[in-house]
Order: sequence, then C-alpha cells, then structure tokens
Amino acid sequence: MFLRMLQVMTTEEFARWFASLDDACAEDVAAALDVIEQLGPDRAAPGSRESLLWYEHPSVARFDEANPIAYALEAWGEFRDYARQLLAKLESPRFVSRLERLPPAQAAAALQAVQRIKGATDPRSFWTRMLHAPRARARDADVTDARATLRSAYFAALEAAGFQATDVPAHSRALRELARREPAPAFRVLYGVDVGRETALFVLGERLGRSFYGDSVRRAEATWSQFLAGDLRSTQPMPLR
Amino acid sequence: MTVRTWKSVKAGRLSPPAASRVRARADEQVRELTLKELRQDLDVTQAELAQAADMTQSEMSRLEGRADHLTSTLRRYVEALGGQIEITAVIGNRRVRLTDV
Repeated sequence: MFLRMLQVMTTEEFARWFASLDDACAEDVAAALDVIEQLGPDRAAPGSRESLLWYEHPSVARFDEANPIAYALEAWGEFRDYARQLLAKLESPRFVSRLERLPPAQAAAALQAVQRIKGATDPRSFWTRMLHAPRARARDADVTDARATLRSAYFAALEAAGFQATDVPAHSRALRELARREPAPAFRVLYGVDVGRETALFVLGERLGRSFYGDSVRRAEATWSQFLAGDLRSTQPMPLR
Repeated sequence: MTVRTWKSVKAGRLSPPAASRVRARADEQVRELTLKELRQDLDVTQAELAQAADMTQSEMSRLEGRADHLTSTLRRYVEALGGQIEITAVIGNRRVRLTDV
C-alpha cells in the first residue's frame, strides 16, 4: 500500500530551478519531494491538488504569503477533486445499472448516501467552514474531516449497492500542484504521478507571487503529456525496480 | 527533452548533512499518520480490524480516538494489520532500536 515508494524523476528545467534555490529553500523543496516519493503511488501528498486553473485570475494567483483566501481556495480545490471523483463513480453506468436492479430498500439506502455526498459538497457549507477557520492548521483539519465525511457516505453507497467499499485512486493521470506558503519563501511545484509505472515526474517549480501562472501550468501539462506518451528520454540509467 | 533522477538532482545540490536533515524531515512527515489513516490506507474496516485484534468495534473506535497509547496496545493494533512495531531511540546522531519494550 502506501509503503511502496515512487521512482522520482525531474525535468532539466526543474533540476535547474532546484539548483538555483538558496540552501534553506532547497531543503524545504527536497523534503516535500522526499515525502511524495515515500508516500508512493497509493497516497497523494496532503495539500496537493489536480485543480490547477479553475481560479486562474491575476488577483488570486499572485497571493504570495499566508493569505487566508489562498489557503481556502487551495483547500477547496483539494476537496473538490475528491468529491468530483466520488460523484463520477456514483454516476457511472455500472453503478446506475446496479442501482436499477436493487430491491427498493437497498436502492433507497444507496441513494440516500449519494444525497449525503451531494449535500456535503455544497460549496456554501464548505466555504462557510473554511472562511471561519482561524488558521491554516484548522483548515487542514476541516478538509480532512470533510473528506472523511464524503468517504464514509461513498462507502455506504457502495456497500448498499453491493460493491466492495474501496476508496477512489489517489492519483489520476492529471498534473498536480503542491504549494507551500509558510514559512517564506513560498513555492509551488507541478508534478504528475504515473501510477502504472510507479513514477513521479517533477516538471517545474517556481516561487509563488507570479502575477499569472497559467502559462506555467500549460507548459507543464505539455511536458507531462510527453512523458506519459514516452517521448522524454532519461539522461541517466533508470534504476531497476 | 530529457529527464533526470531526483536522487542525482538532490545529490548535486545538497551537502551530505543537508541531505540527512531532509531525510529526517521527510521521515517525520510520513510517519505523521494517525492509526485511523494507517488502517484506511490499508483498506481495512474498523470492524475487520477489531475482529483481527480480538476487540470490540467500540474499543477499536476509542483506541483510534486516543492521543496516547500503551506500547502493547499499539503492537496489538499494528500486528492485527499485519505489521510490526519497531521502537527506535534517537539520541543526537545515534539511532538505537529498542528491543525490551
């Protein structure tokens, strides 16, 4: 499970950025990457998200400090990623077809669980909680609790429909972002995890505070697609696994 | 376009003492899993684990909510998950695995 490690690779661009960091920041970045390596393919790094550009707006993207709105936006992105994955499974033809064949009581139980998820993903309740949480740590705890609530309802829906209760995969093939806002200097890294090959590629890193970062994301996405397609070559022998 | 191994990129930038500090920080963060998260990561339900550990589900629930644990309780929990407990004393740069706890 999470004890499987990832094979971690970087682009030349990421390597150059990492080499240019001062000692303290280089250690911070290295620790973040080592955590992702150790968490392996089955567990996403806490705080990392696949929702990258949904809040693309200069006034949001340039938050470079411990800005409460930025924390809340990132927490919402992480939560929304998870909720979207759960709802996609529960709206899949396989689940719907099973639902249609269930006895009424079981179908009602499954639908109630689906309704609980939809209720929990109501942005109004999420944002009320986030914007009232006084500190980042409290918000992290809230996101963890909110995800646990969703997971519990998801498992209930699966069990009611006669499916095995297992969580959705931690990673899709989408690019991810991990941002660190405190302590300064704040930075973000963009990376992807190829679960099949148990490999992560760190595509680029940058200091937070750019007035616009959509271009970074689009460039990183192009590189990540090349990697998935096998179009990137390694300058060093890949370790045997 | 080419890619490199993180190991080589890291070795090229961090001094050996810095690399040791980074490793220790990462280890600490990864270890910061609660018992409940550990169980969930292994896709084991509370009821299944309670049965394997010969406990009731309510005992298991209380155990997971506790902030402080007896070593024997932790051992029982982790062994029921199919793992083992290792306790290591870290004193300065020395790491000593304790076998008598």
